[in-house]
Amino acid sequence: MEVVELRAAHLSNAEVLSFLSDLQADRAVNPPVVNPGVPPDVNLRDLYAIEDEVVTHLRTTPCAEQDEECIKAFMAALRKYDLTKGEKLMLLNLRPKSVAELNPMVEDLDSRMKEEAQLALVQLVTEMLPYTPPEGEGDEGGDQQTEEAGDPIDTA
Amino acid sequence: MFVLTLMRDNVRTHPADFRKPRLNALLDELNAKYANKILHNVGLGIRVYDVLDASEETVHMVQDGSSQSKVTFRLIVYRPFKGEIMTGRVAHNDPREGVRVSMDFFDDIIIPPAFMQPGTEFDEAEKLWVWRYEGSDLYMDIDEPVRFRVEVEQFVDVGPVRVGQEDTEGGAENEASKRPAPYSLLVSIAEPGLGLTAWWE
Repeated sequence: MEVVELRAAHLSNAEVLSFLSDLQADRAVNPPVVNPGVPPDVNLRDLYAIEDEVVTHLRTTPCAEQDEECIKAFMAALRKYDLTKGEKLMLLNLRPKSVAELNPMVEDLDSRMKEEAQLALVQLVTEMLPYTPPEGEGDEGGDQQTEEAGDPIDTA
Repeated sequence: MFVLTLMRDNVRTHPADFRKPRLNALLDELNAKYANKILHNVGLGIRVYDVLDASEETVHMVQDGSSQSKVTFRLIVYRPFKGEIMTGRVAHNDPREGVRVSMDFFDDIIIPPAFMQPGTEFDEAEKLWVWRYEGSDLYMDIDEPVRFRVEVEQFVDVGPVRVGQEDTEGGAENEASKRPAPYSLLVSIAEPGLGLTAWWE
């Protein structure tokens, strides 16, 4: 085993999810070639396990509803902000819905962006990236003590 | 969170696998070797993304007739960068270790007490960590979504697991959970915007 380049490319969560779920769908239609007399997935048990777990995890995140077009449009729209590659990737993967959530994702946010720009960025994120919160999740916040009043910006 | 790692490895194809198309035979071998495995100083292998190149095959005639070739491929690897923000779920509260977070496919994520918001303490009655903030008690309830920042990544070379070892030492100390994790992340929630996602809604 030889590692030629550790980080040859960064993948967004949406890319990983679509790659893995396409493969799973394909496998359901074209079952893989196996040798007679050998249990079908004895060697690939780890593969199927991790694939399932990654897909399960990513389906619960905002990336489940992102497709190539909306990612491209989003990345183009982010160009006017001075953000690093990693920051853009986090915005895409995590989809902050308020300035409070945006704050840790962009280093030194307050000195790099005016407050209006921060609000505009959050609005851009919530408008361009679709996300439907899972049902019932909204009510659960009731027993949690929240020290911040909900931000007016919402997905609508 | 995920990266593509360019790698090269010798792949040996057993004659029984010659019935598969060659690419599939190579992919199956590589996936069996790398999927769901921690690669030291690389990260957690998920699966092969694509095969870029495979050299001419050498056939081991005097052995089992298998063919071997050098393959260049790209692997999807879970390797968050330092400072990356991610989300997971609270899996376990421990008074000494801190809070353990699970991302379904990866569980060795720890929020040590030093990386929690100032004013966080362990509630002995509830057995949960709690952030006492301006009169409110914010508990780190199990299964709640949590947002955190990667601070320290640790790779430990655990070496192969010896079968005989379990017999000699025995007892609860040798449980799988007591072995150091080969790859673990120490993460922080000591910043505004981090911690349970419900705190910031």
